[in-house]
Amino acid sequence: MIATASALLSPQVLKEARQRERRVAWQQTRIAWLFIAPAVLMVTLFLLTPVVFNVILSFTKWQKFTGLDQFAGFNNYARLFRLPYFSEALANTAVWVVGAVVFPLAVGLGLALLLRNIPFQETFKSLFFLPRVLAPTAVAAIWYYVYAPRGVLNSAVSGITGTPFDFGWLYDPATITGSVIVTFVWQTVGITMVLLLLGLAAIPKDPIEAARVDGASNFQIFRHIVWPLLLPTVLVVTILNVAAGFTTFDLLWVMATSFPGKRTLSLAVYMYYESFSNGAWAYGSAVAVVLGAMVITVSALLAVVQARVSKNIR
Amino acid sequence: MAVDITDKAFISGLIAKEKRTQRQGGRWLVLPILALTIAYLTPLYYLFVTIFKTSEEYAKKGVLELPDSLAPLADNVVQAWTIANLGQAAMNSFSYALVGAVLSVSFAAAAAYGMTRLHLLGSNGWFMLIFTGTLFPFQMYLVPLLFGYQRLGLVNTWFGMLLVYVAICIPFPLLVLRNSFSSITREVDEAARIEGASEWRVFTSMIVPNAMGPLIALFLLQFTFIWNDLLFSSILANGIEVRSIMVALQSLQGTYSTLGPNVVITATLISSIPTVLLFIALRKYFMAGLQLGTK
Amino acid sequence: MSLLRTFTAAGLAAVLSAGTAYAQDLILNSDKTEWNPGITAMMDAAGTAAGVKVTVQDITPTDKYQAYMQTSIAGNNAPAFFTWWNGQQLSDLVATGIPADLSANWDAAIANGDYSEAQRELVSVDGKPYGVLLNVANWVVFYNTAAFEKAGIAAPPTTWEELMADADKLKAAGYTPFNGPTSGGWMPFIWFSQLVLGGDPDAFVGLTDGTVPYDGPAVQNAFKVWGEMYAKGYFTDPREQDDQKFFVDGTAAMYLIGDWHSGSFAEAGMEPGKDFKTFLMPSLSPDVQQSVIVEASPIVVSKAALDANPELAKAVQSMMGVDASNALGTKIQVYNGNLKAAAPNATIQANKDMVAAAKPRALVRWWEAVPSQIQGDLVAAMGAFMFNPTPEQAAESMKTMQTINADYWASK
Repeated sequence: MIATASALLSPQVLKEARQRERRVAWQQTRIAWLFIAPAVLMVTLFLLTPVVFNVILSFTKWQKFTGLDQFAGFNNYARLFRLPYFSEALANTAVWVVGAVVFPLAVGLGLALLLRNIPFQETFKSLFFLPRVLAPTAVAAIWYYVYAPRGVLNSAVSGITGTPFDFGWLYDPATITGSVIVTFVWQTVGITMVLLLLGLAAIPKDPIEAARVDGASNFQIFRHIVWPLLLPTVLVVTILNVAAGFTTFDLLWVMATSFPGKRTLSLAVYMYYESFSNGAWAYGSAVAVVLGAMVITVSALLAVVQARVSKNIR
Repeated sequence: MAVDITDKAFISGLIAKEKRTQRQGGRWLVLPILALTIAYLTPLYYLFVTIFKTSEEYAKKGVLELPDSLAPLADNVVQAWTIANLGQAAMNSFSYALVGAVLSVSFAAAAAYGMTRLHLLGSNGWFMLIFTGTLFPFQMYLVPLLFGYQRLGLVNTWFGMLLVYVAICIPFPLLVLRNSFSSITREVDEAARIEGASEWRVFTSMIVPNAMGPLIALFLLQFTFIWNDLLFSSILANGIEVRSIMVALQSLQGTYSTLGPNVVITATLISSIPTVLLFIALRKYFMAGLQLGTK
Repeated sequence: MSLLRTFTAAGLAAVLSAGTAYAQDLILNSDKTEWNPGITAMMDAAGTAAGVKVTVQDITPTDKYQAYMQTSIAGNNAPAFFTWWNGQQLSDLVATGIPADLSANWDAAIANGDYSEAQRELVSVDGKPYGVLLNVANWVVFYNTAAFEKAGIAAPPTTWEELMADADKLKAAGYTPFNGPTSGGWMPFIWFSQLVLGGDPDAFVGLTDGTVPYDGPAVQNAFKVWGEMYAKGYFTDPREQDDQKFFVDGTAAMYLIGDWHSGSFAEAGMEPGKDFKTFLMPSLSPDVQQSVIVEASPIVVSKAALDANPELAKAVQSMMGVDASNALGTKIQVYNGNLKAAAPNATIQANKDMVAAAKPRALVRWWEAVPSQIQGDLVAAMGAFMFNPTPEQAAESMKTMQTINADYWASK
């Protein structure tokens, strides 16, 4: 067909057609620019430019009112490890990342497996999803009073044991991070569970049936059939929660409001303090750059793993 | 053991057995799940008994005890509403969330259209440029934004705050919409174009109606994100006339610490009403939106 | 092109809905929310004189206010008036060129008998004054008269031994001797600095200029005394977020704080001079000179605003007048040092008399004297000790503070 058609056209006509095509393409590109312009402008001006400036600022001596025009080299980065609070904040951030990934996943998976086969599944699902609809700031304000010396948790403990109990969960460096992670799990386990239930529903029944007929135990079925097929969903949930673990701010900021060591509870909080309270703008920017580098590296690694896993499954 | 899988009786027997074990298992499981659910719901129960208590009642009674009457709620709402200027803050956040979500999703949709339906030189490059906006933690934006905003006089202005929200909310919808628009068949817009429709017409009357589901879901997600924001507003717009509801809520807990928890807890409930209502009304889209985030 | 029009329309609509412009005459920024009515009254009185309206805008808590002002100043966008701190904080600010030199106003005020030369020094950097006084407060120990009576204490203590003996009597009578709040992001420094200056006032001054380390003998001794007091149960629960609650509800018998606080005790129903009185904190041993912390908070005027509207100088002058001072005192019982103005309540008058009689060494408060970049980080380490008052935590806190302090002065 095509051969016949082009045979009918003279080179002159063809050339004109190609030119017209190019003209139309060019015209379309210009219209397309108009379509993408608002998004490109907004993102470039308000997100990408600040990131570039953030990196530049981290190499200046800017603190309080002065030093914006002085070059500091890698001095701010060297100071990170000289000062005691950065390492503490880094360690707590590591705890956060692990906690934010492991616990929602473990509890969510347990719930998803349990809820799969029981009556009123939808009701339970909605109940567990409920906290997700509340704002993190609101959740944090509620849990601040749950953990208060005269709060819900201590009342429950003294009710059960019969002795007065007024432990300050949010005032002790040993318990505060864990306590806030519990709140995080409370809020995120619902969505994790819903996503895992969707993943579970998508697993074909046949291989499970076949394995059961062959006498495989529930654990074996889970280990060898369900888990590998669920892995892509698990990875997605992990990627979401890793980012949340690295940058959690609202919960800590509100729940730790009366804890003297709150500035070291995570890098996000530490950065906020250094910049916006101490006026150590350049140093705070360096903390943000380190945080950004870690988030991007870990997310990229996970994305590579995810790509491998989905390829293996296909 | 040879099993004849074409044997209908064998299969139905197997299914019945499976269902039996499921039901038995199910009954056993209800108890631990119920216990877990109760523990899980305790903070919400606490929320609902606390909003009906007066400050004195809260100080005297056990925190989980039922309130004497429902009447104190009105006073708690009035206190929360007036003391931290929660009313103004709610209006601010509502306008940020509404205008911000509409604009960001519209901008993202327009960009997705330009990238998927039109001939655009370097389409992938443009996409990567915007997608980069999802990679960095917010902490990297804060100091330069604050400084730049001070220079431009945008600090503590409604418009300046809106601009940041719109920008932050563009990359993710673009990512999603680029996929959804690609899956709409080409014939739809080709036909319209041959009939002489402008690109704008094709976009608004052919593509957008075909992607209403994801658009609503994305609007919901971005609305919720802006409504819930504490970080950006606390830095760029914490003046009492422009601050967001989350900043007001947080100040209620911080500055006015002499207030009873009953007032603060009531404020947390007020601050959650719009997102809870949206969730209930548009649950289907909300759930769809969650899955958008995972693709 | 219709596309472009639509986007423009969307943008315009957004601008218009933002339409409630917040254009105001002049702004005074402050972090002192509780003082808002008083400052407003003072600025109303003063603004009328110059024909301008000054609106008070609060930003709280203090650390957020500092951040806001630092970026305002860095962005060359400072308000016409703002509250600040004296000492090191004021020197830093003056270096930016933002505050106006108020020498002319101070000369007139001193000639008029409103203020003294010594008071001018409180807000001066290199001999030039850069602020109007908003608050001049003596730091004293407030005590609950009913508690002292019940514990059988006839007269307030004059030595450290007496103070400790009285604390034991109060403890026996069922009171917690001292209120020890940690709230607001700054209060942990109160007892830390008191115990350092009570033992060695020179070391206290040296702490704030980098010549004395935070893990040296003066600080070690302060932590030792502090820890012993905690061990004996002398302090209230550090978890309470309402700083005056335990003093007002009668749990704690004494509260070491600036006398600007007397207004809020009065607000809470305690009558100054009757329900509570004050005494000067004795030093740790009789051979150390007694010191008193004098806190002075200035309102700074922006040079740019004054240049743009010379009429503002009239407003500044009337801010320093007796009427403005009385407006402030009547509204919130805060005293700004005006010599013609009456002390806002009996306690503040009594403190003035006590200081005049005892002639203790006047010291700038630690908060104002220390570089603000490390202020918050050091307070955090002091607060950590209050929550865990053990020798191990003391050692840990001292190490942390000295690392931060040494790093700061090395980078100078």
